Parts: sequence; structure tokens; C-alpha cells
Amino acid sequence: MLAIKNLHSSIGGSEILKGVNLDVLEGKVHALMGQNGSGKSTLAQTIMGHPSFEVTAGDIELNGTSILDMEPTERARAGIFLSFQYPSEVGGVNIASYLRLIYNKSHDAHLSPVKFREILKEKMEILRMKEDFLSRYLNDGFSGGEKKRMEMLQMLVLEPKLVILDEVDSGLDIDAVKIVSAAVQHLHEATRASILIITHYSRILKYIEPDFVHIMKDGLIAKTGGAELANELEEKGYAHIA
Amino acid sequence: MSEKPKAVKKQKSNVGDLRADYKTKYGFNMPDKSVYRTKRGLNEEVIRDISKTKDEPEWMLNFRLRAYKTFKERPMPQWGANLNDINFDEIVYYLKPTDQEKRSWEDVPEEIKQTFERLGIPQAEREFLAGVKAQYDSEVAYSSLRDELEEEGVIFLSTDEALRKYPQLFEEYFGKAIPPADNKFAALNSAVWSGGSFVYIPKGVEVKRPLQAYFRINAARMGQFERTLIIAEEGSFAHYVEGCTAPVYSSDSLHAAVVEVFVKPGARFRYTTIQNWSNDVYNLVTKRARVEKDGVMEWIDGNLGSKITMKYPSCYLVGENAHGEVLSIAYAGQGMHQDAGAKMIHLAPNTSSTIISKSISAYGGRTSYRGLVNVSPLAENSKSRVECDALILDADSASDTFPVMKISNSSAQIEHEATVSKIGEEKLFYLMSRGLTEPEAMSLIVSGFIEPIVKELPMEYSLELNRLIELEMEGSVG
Amino acid sequence: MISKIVHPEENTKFQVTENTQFIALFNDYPDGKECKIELEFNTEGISAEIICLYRLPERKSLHLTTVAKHIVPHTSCNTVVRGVLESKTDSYYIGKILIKKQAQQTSSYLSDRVLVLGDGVKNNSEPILEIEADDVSASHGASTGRINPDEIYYLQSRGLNEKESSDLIVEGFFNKVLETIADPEVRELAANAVKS
Repeated sequence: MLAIKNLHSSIGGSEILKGVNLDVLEGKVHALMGQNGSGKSTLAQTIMGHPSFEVTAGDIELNGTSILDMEPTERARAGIFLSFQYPSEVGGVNIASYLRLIYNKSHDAHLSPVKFREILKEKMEILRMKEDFLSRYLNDGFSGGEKKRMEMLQMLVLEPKLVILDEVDSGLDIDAVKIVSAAVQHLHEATRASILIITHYSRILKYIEPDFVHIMKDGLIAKTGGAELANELEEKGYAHIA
Repeated sequence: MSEKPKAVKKQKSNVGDLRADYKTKYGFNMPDKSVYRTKRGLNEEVIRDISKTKDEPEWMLNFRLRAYKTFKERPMPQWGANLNDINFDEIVYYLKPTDQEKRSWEDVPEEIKQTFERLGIPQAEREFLAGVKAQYDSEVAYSSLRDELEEEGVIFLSTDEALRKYPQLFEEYFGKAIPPADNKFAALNSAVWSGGSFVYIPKGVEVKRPLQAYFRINAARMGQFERTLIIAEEGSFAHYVEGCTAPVYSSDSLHAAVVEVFVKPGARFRYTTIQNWSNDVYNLVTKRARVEKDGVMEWIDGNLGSKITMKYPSCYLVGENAHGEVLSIAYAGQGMHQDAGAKMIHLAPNTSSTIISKSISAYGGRTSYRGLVNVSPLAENSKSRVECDALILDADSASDTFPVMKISNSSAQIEHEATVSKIGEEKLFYLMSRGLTEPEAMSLIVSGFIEPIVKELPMEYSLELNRLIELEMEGSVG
Repeated sequence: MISKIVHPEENTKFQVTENTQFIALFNDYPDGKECKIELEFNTEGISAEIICLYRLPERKSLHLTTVAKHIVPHTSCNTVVRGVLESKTDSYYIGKILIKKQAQQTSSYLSDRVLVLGDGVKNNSEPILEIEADDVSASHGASTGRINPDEIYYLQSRGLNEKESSDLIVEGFFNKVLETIADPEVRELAANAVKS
């Protein structure tokens, strides 16, 4: 699905990723773990194509085609979804019409507001979101938890092939983690989307069991294993593992 | 809401008393033993006299004469505060207090020492001072430089002495940041300047302790025209502090200083002023810094007294990544108008600036913030942030905010916020419910209001400032 | 509150006698002409709004002054200016809040936000406060800048292209103010006036 090859990525002249190799397999759940500053979020932003990060060497391929020259828009259209750790607040943009806009663009559809509302209703139920959410502005004045749910709602609307969750569980209480996990699980089961969960703690992995666990350190993948690696990490800490 | 101003009503009844004890608290009026002084009024002859007494080079005399011509030609500024009552013919333009400058503390005349004591500068504090320069009347009367500073090549002299010793530096920098034609009062200063400080920080030298200077006006109807020139060479750092406390006089006095600062690439300079002129002084000061690549200039400006202050410290950000900052506090009490602010001129890419202004007006005083943020077409990706907060303590006082933003580059990111308010009822009530008296609560709130700037001051200044605020509040509501 | 369209070509001065929104639109505005909207508060207990919305097309200039003058106690005013500047436009705005000595218990606010879309733009803003009463609440804020690139990137990551993203952001920028216009017909008119 996604092949990351010897990826070097810099911001403002300083190199953060120093030769990352990682394969995200079709229909599988991968967890990418690591301490703060190890380069996890940089990897997520580089895959999505954040303009501040410069790829100085290596490649990222989606189904065998390099995406490095693609705009973030094209990457999104190609089926990549990144749940942001810190989503932007876009004032004055009504959520209901925004979601319909991105749905119609990504599905090449022309659904009416009424038709779209039917689709949306089911997705909001998964996230236990209330109707009145839709009349608000995009992330405008949202709490941390509300922003994460809004990210999940967009994920469900876009129905991507590859989902990258950047610290989606940070700052959430246990009920919210369960809801977010349920949304990811729902998408994964319905569409066999590949999932890359970027996280500091193994907490969320109790609700979405990973097929693979990768540990990142100093801009490199230091270790790869199965779900048991996350447990080991939980018990013994990063210092012991990597 | 309308039942509120209990404090205000009391303030009104006490307005007359407010500064009654000012003289004993801050004022001092030593016998005038000046050795030489010019007659009142200004003409070419007076200027030739000043220059001759100081034994200046020819070019400085010519500079003064040209500036005098500009001063005469320029009309009195009609914007801002009212300056029309200044009578230039009543002013003494030069006064020399002692025959020669003294180097050691022992040589300082006893009455000047007394003055310093009343200013609250304990002898022991000198230990903490990197060097003390004190201006008594028009010229530096006492100066001491620590040996370590001299060793590092730091020059800290009176401007007059520096002109004699380093004429080449003067030809290169003097009047280059602020040409006499800049404004009427810069022209006047250029014509009759005397005293002030000269600071030269060599490349890479970091002066850890603040360089301090105390200026005072001590003769009635005496103009004070000090001239300060500062050069911070590449990668250097220093903090210059000046403070003023003036004695009380009935007739108007004029203080028209010029301060020029050159901040070279990667250098950082902080200039702190706390002024507490008595409320018969016109304080019209031009302060400007020229900041080169990666340089940082910080003006910290506290204006607490005077009849009228007009002062807008400015930064010309001429090099890439240069940063300018102005933190300003103004307090206008009875009969005062503080017209203060800042100017930030962005002339190079990636330059940034911050202006934070806090003002308080009480007992019929008026504070005006006047500011300019100018982004030239060359200043790609520049950023500026301005915050002005004003407190009005009673119904007789007033506050204005006049910011100008001229932005000629599309990539600029500029923000300006200003608020005007009174002391919140609830805050006052809350503190009084904890057992504070009204004046105590008021002074606590006012201190909190200016705290973001006060915390940037050297300790002795912040203590003095908070003490002043306390006294003002007691005078008002006690 | 009633909504009232103001024609900015006229030098307009209003005595505010009932709660009113004054809405100035500039789509048919004669290039470079000075215009002034002045509200005078002479009736106690009245509140009003000045709403100015403009989208200045290439090579046009705008000279706008708004004045909220509070003379009697207990009035309030909210001045809201939202502008979008295309390439080579010049904008000059002066926004005054004047609170006279007798005008206690006044609240008056001004917010001037400019989004710069094009190059070679000149933007001049002078928000002015002149306050002579103490029991008041007054503030102004002014900002100018380009669209935050993080916002564009965020929307791109959801599949919108750059143009679509910035259009959406501009729409949202005006929307927040448009939604405060009480009269639906006037709101519609205003929304059309700022469409690209």
C-alpha cells in the first residue's frame, strides 16, 4: 500500500527523518510508537505533504507510484487521510456544508444537502455526535476532544484507503478513546483501509489491535514486531527497547 | 454600574492635595552653585559660546549652527499635546555645575552626594552598578567606570568628554540616526546639546550588569538638552538604564533630549528609562535606534511625571531578521499629559516588532498612545504586534489611542489591540473582602496592570515604581 | 434591531435614535472616493452597529472613515470592518471611537480585519480611541495578514485544492459577520456584495 524508502525529511534546514524505511500493508493496522521528538509527527506530515517539510532523499510510494511531487490535495484524493494532532480552526466555515463539499469532491458526487444529511447521520451516530454540532464552524473554539471527533467525522466522510492517526488519543478521556477507536474500527472493517496509528502510549492499542508495531527513535525505525512489542514497551519502557 | 465610583468621588475631593508632599517625598532643590551659565534666550552668540566653552571642533560648531537654523525655521508641532506655552526666550541653554568632571566618589561635591542619598541610591549599591553617571544640571558631574569594563574596551563617558577623546566615532555616528531636521526639538537639541552619555560596546562584548545614569534638572527655567549616543558593535550585549526625579518648581522647564542607538549585526541593546519629572517640565525627547541584521533593540520607557511628555522611541529595522521592542508605561496625574508611544519602521525582510503600552490616567490627567508601524515594500514576511491598555481612574481623566499602520508589503502580518477601561468593581470588591483598604486594593490592581513591564526593570527601579504607585493611590483615596 | 444599508458614496452622518445596524457595502463603490460613516449617539439606552464589508478588486483603492461618537450616557456601538484585498489595491481606513465626558456607561468596540490575497497591496489602518469618561468599556483591534498557510494545508489534506481552500476560508471570514445581520434580505445582499 504505502512504501517509505530511505526517507530523509528536514524542516528549516535541520534533518528530522534520517532514512526511514516502512511498509504499510493493505488492510493492516500498524502502530508507530516513539518518544517525543523521535520524528513520528514529522513522518505523518511528510506523508501528507506539509509545505514546511523538505524531502532531501528517499521516496514515498502509494501503490507503486511516488507521491512526492503531489500536492496535499492530490494525496488526499489518492486516498490518504491524516488526522491532525492540532487541527486548524477555520472560522466562519459551516461544518455541514463543509463536510458535504469535501464528500462531493472526494466521491465525485453531487449530493444535495438533504441526501448528504442521511449519510452523515449514520456516521455521527458512530461518534455519538449531536446534530447541533453541524451548525458550528470548523474547529472554531472546539475543545481538544471535540477537535478529535471532528477529525474522525471527516475520516468517515472521506472514506480513505490509508488512515494516519497522529496522536489521536492524546488528551482524551477513556470514553472518548473508545469512541474514536470505534470509528477507526468501523472504517477498517467496512473498507479494509490500512491504518497507521502514531502514538506515544499503548493505551489506544487496547481498542484497536495492531498487526505490526514499529518503534521510532532519532528519525529512524529502530525496531519492528507484532502486537506483543507494544506490551513489552508498556512494561519495560522505551529505554529498554530501543 | 452607576452607583460605583465611590473611589472616584473621593479622588476628586483630594485632587488638590495629591502632589502637596511631592517635594518632601521626591523633590530637592539644592543651592545653585553653577560656575557658568548662559543668559536666558537663544541666538547664534549663545551657541558659539557653548561650543567655545567646551572647546569643540569646528565641525561641531557648524553642526550646531545649522541645527539652530532648522530649529528657527520649523513651526511648533500642532499635533499631539499643546506646546504653545513654551517660551524659548525664558530658557537658560547652558549651565556648567563644576569646573571639571570628577572621577572618584570622594571628589564629588557634598551637596550632590546628598542629592543622591535622597534619590535613594545607597552607597553600597555602587557595588552593583557597572558604572554610575549622574548628570547634575547640564553636565556630567560624577562618573565612575569599573575596571573590568575598561579592560573589555567598553567606553562609558559623558558625551562631551567622548567627543574630545573619540572624534572619529562622532563624525561617523553623531546625528546619523536622528538628523537635526527630524523635528523641531531634535533640531533644538542639536544646536544646544550638552551632557548625556556616550556608550561604546566593542564587538562580542557582553556587559552583564546594567550601565546606569541619573539625570536631574536642578535649576529653574533651565533647559536640559542632553545628548546620548550609543554604539553596540556586532554580537555585543548591554543594558543601559537612566532614571530621573526632578525637584518641584513653579516655572516651566524644558527637557529636550536626543538619544541615538546603533545596533550592529547580531547585537542586542536594552535601553531603560524611568522618568518622574516634576509636573512643570516639558519632556520632549527623540529616541531612535538603527537595528542591523539579526540585531535586537529594546526600549523600556516609563513616563510618570512632567507637564507634557511627547516621546515615541523608535526602531529602524534596516537589516534582515532585526527585531524591535518597546515596552511603555505612562502615568498621567493632575495637570499632566503623557503623549507617548512607539514607532517601528520595517525596512528589511523577516523583521519583527512588538509594542506593549500600559497607561494610567487619574485626577484629570490625560494619556495618549501614539504609534506607528510602517512596513516598507522591501520588508517581506515582517511581523508586528501592538498591545495598548489604558486605565482611567476617575471621571476627570482621559485617554486616547492613535495608532497608525502603514503596510506596503502584502506578506506582512500585523496585529493591533487596544483597550480602555476602569478598575473593575468586582476586582476591587474581591480584594476588599479579603481585608484590604480601598487604596491598597487600587494600588494592588494598578501594580498588577503594569506588572508585565515592571518585571522587566532592574529590581531597584521596580521597587521604586511600585512605591510611587502606592503613594499616588494613598493620595487619591486615603 | 433593524438593518439599514448605507450608501458609502454619500458623506453620511446619522443621529442614532433606535437600535440599528448600519451596513455599508462597497461593490459599486466609486474607485478612490472618500467616504465617511458617522454615528452620533444622543439618545440614552441605544445600541448600534456599523458593519463594513468589502472585497477590493485589483488596482482599486478605498478610503473609508467610520466614527462612533458617544455623547450621552448608556449607549453602545460595535464597529466591524472586514476587507479582502486583491493585488495592487490600496486601502485607507480610519476608525474612530469618541466617548465624551458625559457619556458614562458607554461600551464601544471596533474590529478591523483585513485579509491580503494579492501582491503589491498597501493597507493603512488607523483605529482611534478618544475617551473622556471613566466608566466605560472601549477597545479596538486591527489585524492584517495573508491567509494562514496551515489552514490551506489542512483543507488541502481533505481534498480541496489551493484555490478552493482559500475561497472557503474567505467565505468563512465574511460569514461570521454576515450571520450577525438581522434582516435576511440585507444579509443576502451583503453576501452577494463580497462574492468573488
